[in-house]
Amino acid sequence: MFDIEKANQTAFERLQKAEPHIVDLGIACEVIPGMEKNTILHAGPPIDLERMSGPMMGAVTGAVIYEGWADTPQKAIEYLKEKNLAFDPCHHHSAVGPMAGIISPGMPVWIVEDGSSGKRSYATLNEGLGKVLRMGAFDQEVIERLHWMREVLFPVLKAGVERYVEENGGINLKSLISQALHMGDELHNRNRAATSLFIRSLVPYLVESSTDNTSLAKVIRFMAGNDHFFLNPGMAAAKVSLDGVGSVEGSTMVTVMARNGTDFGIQIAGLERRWFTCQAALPDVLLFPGFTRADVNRDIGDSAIMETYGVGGFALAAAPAIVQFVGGTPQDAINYTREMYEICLGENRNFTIPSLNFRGTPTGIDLIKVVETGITPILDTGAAHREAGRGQVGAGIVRMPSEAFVSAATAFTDRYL
Amino acid sequence: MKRLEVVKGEYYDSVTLMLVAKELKKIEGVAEATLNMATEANLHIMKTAGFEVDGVNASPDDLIIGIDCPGELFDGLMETARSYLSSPPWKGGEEPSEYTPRTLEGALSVLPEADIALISLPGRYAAAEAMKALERGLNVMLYSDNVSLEEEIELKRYASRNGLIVMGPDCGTVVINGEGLGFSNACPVGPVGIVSASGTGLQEVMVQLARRGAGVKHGLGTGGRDVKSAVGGISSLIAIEALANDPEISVVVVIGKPPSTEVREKLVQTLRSCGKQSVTCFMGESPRKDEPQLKYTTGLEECATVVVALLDGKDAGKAREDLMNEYLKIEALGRKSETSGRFLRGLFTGGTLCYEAESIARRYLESIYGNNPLKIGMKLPDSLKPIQNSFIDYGEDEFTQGKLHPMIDPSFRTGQLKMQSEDPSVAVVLFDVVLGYGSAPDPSSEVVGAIKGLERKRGPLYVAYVCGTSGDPQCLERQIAVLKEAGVRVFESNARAAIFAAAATVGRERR
Amino acid sequence: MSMKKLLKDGPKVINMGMEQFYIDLKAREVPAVRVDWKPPLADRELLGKLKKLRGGNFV
Repeated sequence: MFDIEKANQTAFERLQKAEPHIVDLGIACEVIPGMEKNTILHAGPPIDLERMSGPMMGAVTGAVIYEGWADTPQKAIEYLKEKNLAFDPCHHHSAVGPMAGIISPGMPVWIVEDGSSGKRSYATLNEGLGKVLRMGAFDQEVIERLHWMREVLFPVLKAGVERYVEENGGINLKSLISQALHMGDELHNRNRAATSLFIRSLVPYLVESSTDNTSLAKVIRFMAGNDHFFLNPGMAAAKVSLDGVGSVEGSTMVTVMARNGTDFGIQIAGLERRWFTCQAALPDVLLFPGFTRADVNRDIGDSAIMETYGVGGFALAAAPAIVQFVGGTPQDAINYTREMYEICLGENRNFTIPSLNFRGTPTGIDLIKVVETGITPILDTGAAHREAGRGQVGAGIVRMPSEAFVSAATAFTDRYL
Repeated sequence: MKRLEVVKGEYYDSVTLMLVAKELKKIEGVAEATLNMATEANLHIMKTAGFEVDGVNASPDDLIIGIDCPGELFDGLMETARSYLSSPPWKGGEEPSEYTPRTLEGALSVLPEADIALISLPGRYAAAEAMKALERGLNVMLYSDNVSLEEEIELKRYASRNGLIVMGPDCGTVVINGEGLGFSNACPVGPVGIVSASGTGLQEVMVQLARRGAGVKHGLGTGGRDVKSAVGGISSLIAIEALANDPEISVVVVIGKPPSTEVREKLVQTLRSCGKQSVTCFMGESPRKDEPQLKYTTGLEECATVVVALLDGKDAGKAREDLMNEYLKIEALGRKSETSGRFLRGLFTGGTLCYEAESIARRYLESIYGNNPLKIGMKLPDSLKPIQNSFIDYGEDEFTQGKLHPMIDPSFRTGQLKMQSEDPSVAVVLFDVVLGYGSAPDPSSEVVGAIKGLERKRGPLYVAYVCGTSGDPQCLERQIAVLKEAGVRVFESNARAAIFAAAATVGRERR
Repeated sequence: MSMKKLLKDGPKVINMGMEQFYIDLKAREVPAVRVDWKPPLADRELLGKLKKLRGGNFV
């Protein structure tokens, strides 16, 4: 016999206890469990090549070129059709990726470890804005940048992190996140403060461990020019914390929310690692000039892990600036967060919101509450162009589709009744 | 050209749908716009209005948008409709509003001292929410109809076991300490307590009391089915007991349609022994002999008259007699009036007002059809096509599934009224205008707009009752004036209007 | 709360459904809050099973 309430408390406590730290960097196929020389990981639930949307196809194409398996986009597409590459969700390998979320064997990744459970998670280094692989771009500029990231960015960061870890133990991501929330970030669509704090922490160690000033300068310039640099380690922090919850018999807490540009998928603590999927939402967001609703690709990315963790759209009340950017008012930002309390198990002990009297963020999405109240989670996300490589077309609040939650609830009653 | 489109799986409340339709109709080229949840009843209404609904694949949780416009405008108008739904144009420029809780729990965290949940959700969801409210120690006013008998019994039994009351289903009016919930009129507070199985019945009695200077402390609704034997009068008995125990109440009143025999016995016994003066009003019954502590009435105005007599320490019988004399005068006036056509059509927004009016009309006219007729076998096959003498209650379930009650949105009744006024066989059109909180802002003007410019050479005789008090938001005097200016005969109670209308129709049927 | 309390100190209303009822109460300064209600995602059968699993307790 089990008690849903007790099970959920257990799951919630495990999530709260996690202490994610950056401990190192590595090359994907060398450090990510189960990753072979022909594996390509992607965001969201499992998906075949034929069903991939534009941005993801573009990112996969770019990855093939980056790996040197083909030297033109045309040849890359042929390569994909002929060879039997193994596509798998990042989530199946303790990893997460924003937007297309493609991780190929030769890509450098952050290694994040949870001091509480000992588990690890992985995420790539964020390329920046504009024409980038994660939006499906794959031209020369993109490939060259990826190479630079492997050849220059990766070794400089690795040396610096090693130096940092020697002196301080891992880089405490939970601490950076909770500070950033007090500085106007919500950690999904707005990471400027977190990125600034991160750079501030790391720079002295980068300088001390540097052997080449020119490269060091380029690395610092690169990070400083990318407001979203912290997103990837932030996502890895969320991933390892939620992985730490593990399987909890009878719990209805949502442990994964992810999208692959075609489908939306969730996992529940009391239903092991089963995916429950449905069509991904079509973001109805504020569009950048020159784009129309017809240009928008379906929701994509593992970054929904931030809301699953209790930040991102759930912490919008901490980030009034971003809501203006997407067409709302500061009161709207507060209202979104308050709505999310109605579907969560509890309030976060570490992540608090100044404008709500430092109330903890809504944390631990409860499947049953979602199904009973009709309120599905909201995300605060970017929207990609449906054609590969055209980049981002807008940003805003997107509501997750309901069918995946209904099928998960049905499976829950089948299993436990 | 009439075209429609289905919007799947989006929930919109009826007021939003009505307001969007209103906004669309302002656009040039739009002859008609209608937005409805795709219930069977609504599909039937749309079909009758000329929209092609056969073969439309939609469930009651889906929305249908129907527009009558030139073909090439349709797609653009549909786009506009959708944008109105997501960004209501009538809300423009408002201050950003405080957070509105999405659940009962959320509401309780905002107002922990709440003592009643007023539930007007669609019937198929209402019972579950009502049970949640009861489980959290809240009383329930269940405005929703289309709640099953089983659900009603389960809710009321739970409430009874836990010291709570469920008022409803289909309860539109409740008054607590002089404050109205749902539909209510601005009335004084006084030493009267009322238990009512009917919304507009309660409103009419309160209005008639107010006109005579008497006030009401509590008016507790029970829903129309409470006094049937299946429910056994659970809420009625709880309510009577509570009013009887209130030291500020000196007269207890029970209003409704005639209860089942066993329930009647229980009610009457409780009233007899409650230690206070009491008055029953079971409409349509034959009159019974008054008892020292219990007076029997069969009409709403009569009930108010008797209550006032009791409050003033006067003789109830005499008060009744005086009232009957006034009625006789009105009847005489009615018989003398001139009009063309043969039949009476009673077109009502208030259910009990319709019921009372029909009971009165039955004393004068041989056969009366309706959508909820008093006599078995007189149900109209199609409520949208009345025949001969007919009384239609536009607040009945068939018209309120996924559609607003006509007291809130009188446009449907108005359209039907216009249609029937054109029918040369219709001699008299009798209708109600219900004012007060919750009701439409200017119902008289809507009716008057419809009856002006009739194509029929000689229109019917229009007879109306305006149920309201001078404190109501719609301004009673003005509502009456608007009708009178348009040639409508306006009377001071539902009964009087019905007597006049029926008397005016007598003998015409055979012409 | 009980019925006695309602008749003594009430009404203090939670409105679920038509907004106009709430607006009217607020205009008369009756304590009230409204719920911006959404229908459940599941059908009655599934909701019933979920309620059973919770042991009839509210979530």
